[in-house]
Amino acid sequence: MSSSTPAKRQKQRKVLLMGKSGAGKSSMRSIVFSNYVAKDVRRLGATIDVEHSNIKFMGNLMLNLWDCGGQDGFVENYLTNQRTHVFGSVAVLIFVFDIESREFQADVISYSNIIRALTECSPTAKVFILIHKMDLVQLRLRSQLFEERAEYIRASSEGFRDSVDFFPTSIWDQSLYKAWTQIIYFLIPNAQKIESALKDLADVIDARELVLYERTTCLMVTHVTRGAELSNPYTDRFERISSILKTHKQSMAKHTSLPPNAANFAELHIKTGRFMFFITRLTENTNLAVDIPPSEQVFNAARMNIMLARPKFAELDIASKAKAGTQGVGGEDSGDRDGVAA
Amino acid sequence: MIRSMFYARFHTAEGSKIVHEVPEGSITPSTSPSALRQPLFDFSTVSDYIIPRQEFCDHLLTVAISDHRIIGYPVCISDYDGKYARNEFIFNLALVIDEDVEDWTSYANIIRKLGRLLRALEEQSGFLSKEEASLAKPVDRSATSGKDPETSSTKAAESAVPEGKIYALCEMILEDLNNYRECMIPIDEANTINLKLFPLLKAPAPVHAWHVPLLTINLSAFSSQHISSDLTLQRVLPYINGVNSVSHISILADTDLSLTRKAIRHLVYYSCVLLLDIFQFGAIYAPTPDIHSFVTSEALQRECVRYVTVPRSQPDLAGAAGPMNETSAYDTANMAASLPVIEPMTLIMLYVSLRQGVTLKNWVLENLEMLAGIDIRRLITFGVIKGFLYRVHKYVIAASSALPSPAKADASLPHTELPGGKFWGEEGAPATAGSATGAVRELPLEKYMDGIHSFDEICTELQMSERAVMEKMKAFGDVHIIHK
Repeated sequence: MSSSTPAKRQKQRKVLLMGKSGAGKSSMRSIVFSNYVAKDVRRLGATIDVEHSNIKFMGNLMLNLWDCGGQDGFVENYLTNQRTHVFGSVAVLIFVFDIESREFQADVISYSNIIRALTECSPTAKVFILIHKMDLVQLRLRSQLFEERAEYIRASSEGFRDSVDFFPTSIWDQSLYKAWTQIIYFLIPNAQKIESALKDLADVIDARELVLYERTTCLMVTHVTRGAELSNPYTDRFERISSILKTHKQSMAKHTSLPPNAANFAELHIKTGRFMFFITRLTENTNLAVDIPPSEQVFNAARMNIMLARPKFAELDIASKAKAGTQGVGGEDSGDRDGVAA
Repeated sequence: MIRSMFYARFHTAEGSKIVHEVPEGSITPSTSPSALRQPLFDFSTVSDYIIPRQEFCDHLLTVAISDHRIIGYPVCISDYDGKYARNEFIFNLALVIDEDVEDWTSYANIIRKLGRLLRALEEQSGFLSKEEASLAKPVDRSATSGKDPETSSTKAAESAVPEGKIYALCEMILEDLNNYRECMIPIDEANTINLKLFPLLKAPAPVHAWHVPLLTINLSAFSSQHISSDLTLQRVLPYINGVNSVSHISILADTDLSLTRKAIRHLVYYSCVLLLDIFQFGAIYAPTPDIHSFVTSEALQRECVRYVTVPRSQPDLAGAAGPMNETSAYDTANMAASLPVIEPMTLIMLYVSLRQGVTLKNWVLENLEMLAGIDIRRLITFGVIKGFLYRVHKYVIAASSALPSPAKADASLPHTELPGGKFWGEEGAPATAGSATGAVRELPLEKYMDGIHSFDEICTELQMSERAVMEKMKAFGDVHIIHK
C-alpha cells in the first residue's frame, strides 16, 4: 500500500506567490516558512525573478513555493516568455495586495492579467487573495475597506469569481497565520481522514480540544473541539498558539545558536487547576496540542494513548511511512493498542 | 572592439532596466535618429544575468548571446539605514563585444575594476544614486499624477536627452578603449578612472643559457631606470647585443644565471627581445619553406641589404639594433655612396645555397666572392629572425649498447659488466667499470646523450668547446650525431 498510495496522490503542489513589488510576499514567506520574526523582515532585499522553495509539509505534501518578484519587468516576463512555465500546473495562486498601494487600479489590472494566464494554463487552480499590511489602516476602517477592496477584486476575477477567497492579513498579528492555515488546509489531500482520526482520538482520551500543528512552520493543520471549549470566546487561540510557538522556537534558536529552522522542542506541559495542556510530537512533521480536564490520571492516560496512536497517524503521513523504522518510537506492538485505548 | 557599453540597475518598481547605453539603441530599441536600428541582442532574455539575484553579485558574469558576449560585474550594495528602497542598490556597468573575440579577459579585468570602483564611489558619496535623483528632479515637477516618485522619475529620464556623469563615463570609456585601448577619466577632485586593455600574452617559452637575446627595439633610448626597477635587468641590458649568449651575459654582467634568464624572459614576454642561437662557423643553417617570401618581397630584400652591409669605416656599433629598428646606427645614405651595392639576387643565391650537411665554414669557403661586403653573422641572423632560415641543431644519441639500460642502472639488480667497460660512474653502482676509465668519463655526459639536448646546450652547460665535447662523446664509442 505504501508504494501505491503516494503515486495516486499528487505529492508536489505548486504554489505561486504573486503581487506587486513591495507588497510583502517575501516577508510573509520568511515569517511562515523560515521562522523570521516580523521585525527582521525589514532587512530583506527585493526578490529577483523567482525564488523557489520546496517545503515538506505533513510528509505526503511537498509545497513548491514560487515566490515571484513583482517588478513590472519580471511580471511582463512571466506573462510572455515564461507563461506556460510559470502558470502551468499550479495548485494554488496566492495573490498579495498592498492595502496601502496608491495604484490600486493598476494592481488590479496586473492581477487580471495574471488571472487570465492562470485560466489558460491551470484552470483548476485555487486562488487566495491576501489583502496585506492591514495594520496600516485605522482599526475602525479596516473591515469596511477590506470588503470594498475584496468586492472590486472579485469583480475582476473572471472564471475564479465564485471560488476566490479573501483574507485580511498583517505580519504583526495572527491574521497571517489564519490565512495560511486555510491555504494549507486546502492543500492537504487527506485532511478529512486526519480530522476524523483526531476526533476518535479526542473521544478516547476525553480531550477538550486537540490542535494539530505542522512542526516546522507551526501552522495549524486542523483541530477538534469538544464540550465546553466550543463556547471559548477566543476564536483566534490557534493562531495565537502558533505565534507563541514560533517565538519560542526563535528564542531557542538564539540561545542554542542553531539555525532558526532547526530549533525544535520535544514536549511542553502546562498544568493548572482549571485545565491541563501539553504539546507533543505526533508524527515526523506534526505536533499535537492537547487540552484536557485537570486530572493527573487523564493526563497520563492521554499521553500514553497519543504515543500509541502515533503509528496510525504516521500511516496518514505517507512520506514518513517509507522510513517506518524511525517511526516505531511508540514502542509497543500495534496489537496492544486496542487494549490500552479501551 | 567594444560594441556597446551600458549601465543597468535594479529598479524596485520596474525591475531590471537599462539606465544608460552607448551607443543609443544598442541594448533597448530607441527612436533617436542617431540610434542603432536594431539592438545587438534581446535584453529581456538575458536580464537575469545582467541583474542577477543578490548571491551572484560582486562576481564577474559573462553571457554570450546572438554572436555577442556581454561582460558584466553586477554589484549589490546593502544598506539597512534606509538609504535605498528595499535596502539594496544593485547595478551593473557592462560592455558588449563580439563573441569571437578570443582574448576577452582584458575586457573582463576592466569591467571588474570598474565595478569595484563604482561600488566604492557609491558607498562613499552616493555617486550613482545621487545622480539619478538629481537628473530626475527637474522633470519630475512637470510630471503630473500621484505616481510613485521613482516610477515617474525614471520615465522622465528615459525620454530626456542622455546626460550626466555616468552616461558620459560610458561614452568616454567606449570611445577611448576602442581608439587608444586606454583611458583616463577624472571623476572628482579625489578620484580618477585609469583603464588600460592589457593584452593577455601567452607565457613565453623558457629562456635557456644557450639562447642569444637580440633587442627588437632600441631600449637605449630610455634610461635604464625607466624601463624597469629590476636590478638584474638594468645590469644585463647593456650586454644584450645579438652575439652574447645568456650564459655569457650573466658572466659579463656578473649576475645570477637564473635571474638573468628570468629578466630576459620578461623582455621576451613583451616582445622586446628575440631569441637566437649561438653564432658559430661550425653551425649548419637551412632555409625553410618561407624562403619564397624573401624571394618575392622586394621590401624585405631592401631591408636585408641595409642590415647586412658591412660599413667601410665604422666598427660594428649597433649590434644591439635589430632589423626592426629603423633608427639604425648606419647611415644609409653614406653607406650607399661608399660601398658596392649588394644585389638582392646575391642574397637570394646565398640563402638558397645554405643546406643541411654544410657547415657555415664550408659554405663561406664555397661562396667567398659573393660574400664580399656582407656581414655573415647579420646575414644569418636576418634569416633566422624573419623565419626563412633555421638552425640545424646537432644532437647526440648513444647506441643502446653504449649506455647502461635503466634496469641495469637499478642498484637492486645484480650488476653485469657491459662489454667494453662503457658503464661508468653513477651513484649507487659501486663496482662499475667507471673506475678503470679516465677522468674524461666522470663528466656527466651521459644525460645529454638521449637525443634531446642540442650541442649548444651541452657546450654552454659544460663550458667547453664543441670540439672538446665531441672528442669526449667519441670516447664513448657507439654514439650517433644527429642533425635536425
